[in-house]
Amino acid sequence: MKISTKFLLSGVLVVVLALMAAPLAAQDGPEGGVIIEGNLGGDPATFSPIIASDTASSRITEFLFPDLLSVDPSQAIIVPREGNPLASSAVVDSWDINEDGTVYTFNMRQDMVWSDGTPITSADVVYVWDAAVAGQEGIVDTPLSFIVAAPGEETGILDVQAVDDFTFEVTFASSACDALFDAASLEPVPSHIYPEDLSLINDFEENLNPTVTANVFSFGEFRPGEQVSLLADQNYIDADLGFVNLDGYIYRNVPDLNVIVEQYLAGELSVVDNPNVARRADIRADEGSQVYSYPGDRWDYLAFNLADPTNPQNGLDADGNAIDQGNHPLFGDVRVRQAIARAINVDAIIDAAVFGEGSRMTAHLIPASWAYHTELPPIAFDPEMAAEMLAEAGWADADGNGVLEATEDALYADAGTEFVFTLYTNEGNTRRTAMGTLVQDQLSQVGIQVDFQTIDFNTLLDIMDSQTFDTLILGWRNGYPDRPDSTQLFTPASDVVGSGSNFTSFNNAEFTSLNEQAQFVPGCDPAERAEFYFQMQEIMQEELPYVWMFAQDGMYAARTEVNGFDPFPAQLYWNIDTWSVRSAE
Amino acid sequence: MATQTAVAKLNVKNEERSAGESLTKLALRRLRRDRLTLVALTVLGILTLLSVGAPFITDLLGVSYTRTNADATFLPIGAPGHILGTDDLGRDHLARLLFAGQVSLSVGFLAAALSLSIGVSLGITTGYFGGVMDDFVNWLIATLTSIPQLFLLLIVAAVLSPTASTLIIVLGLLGWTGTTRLVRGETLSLREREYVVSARAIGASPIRIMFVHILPNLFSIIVITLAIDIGTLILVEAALSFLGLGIKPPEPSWGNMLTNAQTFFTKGAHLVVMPGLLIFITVLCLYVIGDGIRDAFDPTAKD
Amino acid sequence: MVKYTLRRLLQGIPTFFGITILSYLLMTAAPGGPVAALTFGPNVSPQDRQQLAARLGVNDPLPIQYLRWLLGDDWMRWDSDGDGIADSSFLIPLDADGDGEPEPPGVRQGVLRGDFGRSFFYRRDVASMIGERVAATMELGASALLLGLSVGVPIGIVAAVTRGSRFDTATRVMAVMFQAIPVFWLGLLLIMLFGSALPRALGLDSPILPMGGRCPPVLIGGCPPIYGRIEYLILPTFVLATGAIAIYSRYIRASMLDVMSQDYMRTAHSKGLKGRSVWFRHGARNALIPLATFLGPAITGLLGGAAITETIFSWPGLGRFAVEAVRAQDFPIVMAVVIITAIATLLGYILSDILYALIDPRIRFD
Repeated sequence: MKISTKFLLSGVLVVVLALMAAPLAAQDGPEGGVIIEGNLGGDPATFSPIIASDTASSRITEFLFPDLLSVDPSQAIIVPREGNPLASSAVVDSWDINEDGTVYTFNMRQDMVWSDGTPITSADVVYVWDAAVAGQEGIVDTPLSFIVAAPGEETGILDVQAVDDFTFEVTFASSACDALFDAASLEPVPSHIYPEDLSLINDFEENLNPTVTANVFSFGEFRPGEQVSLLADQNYIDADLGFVNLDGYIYRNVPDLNVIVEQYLAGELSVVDNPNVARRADIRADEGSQVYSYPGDRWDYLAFNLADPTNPQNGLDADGNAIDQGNHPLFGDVRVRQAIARAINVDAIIDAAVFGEGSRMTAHLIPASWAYHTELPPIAFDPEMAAEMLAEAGWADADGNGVLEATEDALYADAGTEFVFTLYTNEGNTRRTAMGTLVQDQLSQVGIQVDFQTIDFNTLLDIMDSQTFDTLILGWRNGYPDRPDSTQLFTPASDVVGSGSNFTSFNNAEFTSLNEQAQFVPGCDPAERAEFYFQMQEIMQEELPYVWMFAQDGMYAARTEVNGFDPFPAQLYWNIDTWSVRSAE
Repeated sequence: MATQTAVAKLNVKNEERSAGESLTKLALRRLRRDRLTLVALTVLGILTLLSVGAPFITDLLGVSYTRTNADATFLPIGAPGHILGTDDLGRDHLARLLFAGQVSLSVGFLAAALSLSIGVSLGITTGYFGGVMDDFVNWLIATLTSIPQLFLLLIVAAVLSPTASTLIIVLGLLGWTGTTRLVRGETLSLREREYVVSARAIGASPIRIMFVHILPNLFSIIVITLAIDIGTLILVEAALSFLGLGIKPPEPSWGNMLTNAQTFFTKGAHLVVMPGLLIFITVLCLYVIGDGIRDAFDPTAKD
Repeated sequence: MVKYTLRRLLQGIPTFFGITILSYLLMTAAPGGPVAALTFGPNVSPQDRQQLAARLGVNDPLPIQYLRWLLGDDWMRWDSDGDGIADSSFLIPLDADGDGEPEPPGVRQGVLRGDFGRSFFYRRDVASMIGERVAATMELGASALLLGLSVGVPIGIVAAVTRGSRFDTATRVMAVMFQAIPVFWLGLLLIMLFGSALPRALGLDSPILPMGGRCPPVLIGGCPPIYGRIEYLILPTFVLATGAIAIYSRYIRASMLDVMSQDYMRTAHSKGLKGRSVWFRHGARNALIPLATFLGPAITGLLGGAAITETIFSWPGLGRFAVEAVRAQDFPIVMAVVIITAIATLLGYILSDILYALIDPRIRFD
């Protein structure tokens, strides 16, 4: 009851504010309009930036709460706001780094206030840090706890201290070049209204009805299962035009992937973010659309289990020494992996599975990454060579049944074993089902029999984490801004049975060492760091813990009535304060 | 539900008849004259034959339901070499529809047969013996019918990650409640009939009474329920596919082909239309057949 | 009558336990589990997962989990000296995740005390989340029921009276067609028809009917009363009602045919009451009696069957909510929806029986 009354009051208040703002704006004022975007997933779980972990929640909190650090959207890198005209709105102006590179002193702007007039101060940042620490103890449900440095590890933050109202100091566990990414997660909240007792954050009433915000929009209303609406906040300090041009934004639930495109084409939605690949041709053909495509940040792969699937082991023991992983009877042999990579026609898969809406990967970094190795050509489709390599690795079809058997020369398979393995992917994903079907058919032509199964996503995660699979098709999505570090995916420290992301048990000493060196390049010059990443990509093209497939291209589309639509890769709304919607005359 | 109650009505009527034999003959005669039902039977027969013969037909046409071809995707109906065109991965659409028919029809038929056998045997025994077993089965029915079927199926499907065989078992194990109720009611009234009472008096064993005296009288209910259940189950499989919990690709079923093709109606409308049409025609035929048989057995109908 | 109702309610108790135990067993048997679903990502450590599992209580033995859900856990782990730290426990360990510190005291009250628990994913009180969606589901369900009855009943009666006529055959084929069309297919076709195809053909620049949602997409002011947004109800109601129309018309037709063969009807007819009016006047009323038994199953049917319609038409109802929860293995939500629909069905059955007895004097409560 209490909440709903408050809800109503704040709604009224906002309407009144909006009405007051309207006459002022009439002179050179906002052109107005409402952006309606379809939300294919479920409701946002929360509007608190501390708790938000799902895509829908983040979409809303990013519009309501200020960023800590600026990003240059044209290059997708974190930059000081000071002296960078393209830098996005943020509370930090600049920073200084101490001599050993582990302590950063951040200088905040003094002109930013919350919507209730309270200045945004260092206390608001420290509060989020405290919540992250409490999260690690299980007191607060926050995804931020990963930035807290684990004992003995080289990444993460050790401490955050306020120096004065507008200055704070962050102590990192090491001088790694990616340290800033961890700091960027400390997006301030209005700590003056947040509960002092951190355990109350989980149920804080502002989580679902944020009344105190500071960004382009303020909160409108949340109608569960239907939509979230946001209202233009004319107090937004960094508005390029001096005012927020739109009236508001609506995030409307449309849970069917076809209906969302139909609604957009009919003009019921003004924007779609990454529509289904099968429907993109329709959107491109639509005269009422403005379309922006970019090499995407989501990439699908086919992963091999390199280790013995009957005896999964962690990569390292408690003292950090490597544990013997055993060998997968088929994929333990790198020649077999190389042969498979040549027997799969990735270009054909891109054409059929994503209708050409994908960019070929050559190794483990997406083509859009600043560390992408442009000189490295992709592995060419060459079934003859694949057959030769398989023969060389000790596989031949002696009994003429169309499936290869191991000969005495095979490295890890007993002689006579047929080349048969299981390929999993998650059910309900048309793209990955198509990929698996094509791989199954293509490999059958070089004498490899694939048992392709689509299974429940959670079951697949269980199998993946337990490291008992042969192969699987899944995908990763790179964060923004891009961070080419491979610690989580391909180093032995992350090869943890039951939870680690290096579930293939990949362990290459040179690769691990290069990955480390790239983190500690003095001065952190991207060009210098990229040299290390180039070498790592060359190794990955040889070693192939995954068959490198493609990154699905991103697509944003907006109705032609939308003015100001001018995205960068993975940055649809960077300039939303200048957007407007031409009303139909 | 409706059909079952209607079936019950019909069987109340059946009590008035004198001899089962003549009604069956009458029913067959009526069926022969019911053109709609005959057409439905013929169409269903053809579809079943085509599906059963899928391996031979595809061999004959020189196509395969697994062979992909990235250069020949979304070929339209009538494309050379592919009578019904190809799908998003260049696989022959006709071949896939036929093999999917095998899956969908056998899921429908076997699951219906399973639930019917459970339903009939439970219905007869509880109706005949009553007692604790009857109370328990009634409680089980009340429990199962109080949970919306779709939720129950969703939960079970999430547990089992269905293949065709697990889906058959699940649908069969969950679908028997209506039949049991129906058969139980029917048995209750049949066991008080004179010929059953006298059979009991001369010492016939319960098993014999149930098989010889009661079961034959349930024939029409069984046939009607079977026809309608198969149709409903094919639809249920399609609905589960839409919710991502039906038969898993790459094993084709009409339901998952239809779901998978949802986004393709501008690229290749035949991919959406054909599986939908086949589901529709099959279910239509089964319902028409069910209705036809019911009418044929209806003693109130005039000749 | 009161006694009868009470007895039915008492009979509902074992059913309640049957439903809840069955659902609980099935759900917890699902592979993966909520912790895997909630913690997918490279940043989550094994300790985090342990903590989460302990907090959600999903690693406890099944009977304990069920008890917690049913009766709460404030009596399983509590703080007896008032320092805020749990110091006593019953049935469950004080320190569930093995980190050397006791878990916080139990705060759950259990379903029997009206506490449906918190959603794993949304971390909110399930009862209030259900409350937010019940109205939408009832709105759609009731209008589909209404449309189904108001179209299905007359069709059924007329078809029976004119048995064998063209109308009879046509409506029977139509009924079967309605039942045989996969719902999501019909929904999508209608959305495209009224959203884009027809407007384009007619030269309009906006959809004839909204392509989804329950209320207009306005920034503020909430959802207008139902008469202000009828257009949003039309398509989903129609899609949901197609099945109902088919079922009711077939059912009423059979029931009417039955009534028509009764002696008193034949008598009335032979006594010179002319024409078909007698069927309508005397027959129809009696044919409608068995419809009362329909209420119970109709409620379950509409709730369950609405999941797909709600998804296609972006309708913020319980069916879609429950389906999403099943997928995410959000046990508390699934359990709550199952309970609520089961109770509604149970009440529906009781109501049916009472109605039936009221209408039909041949039935006695005993």
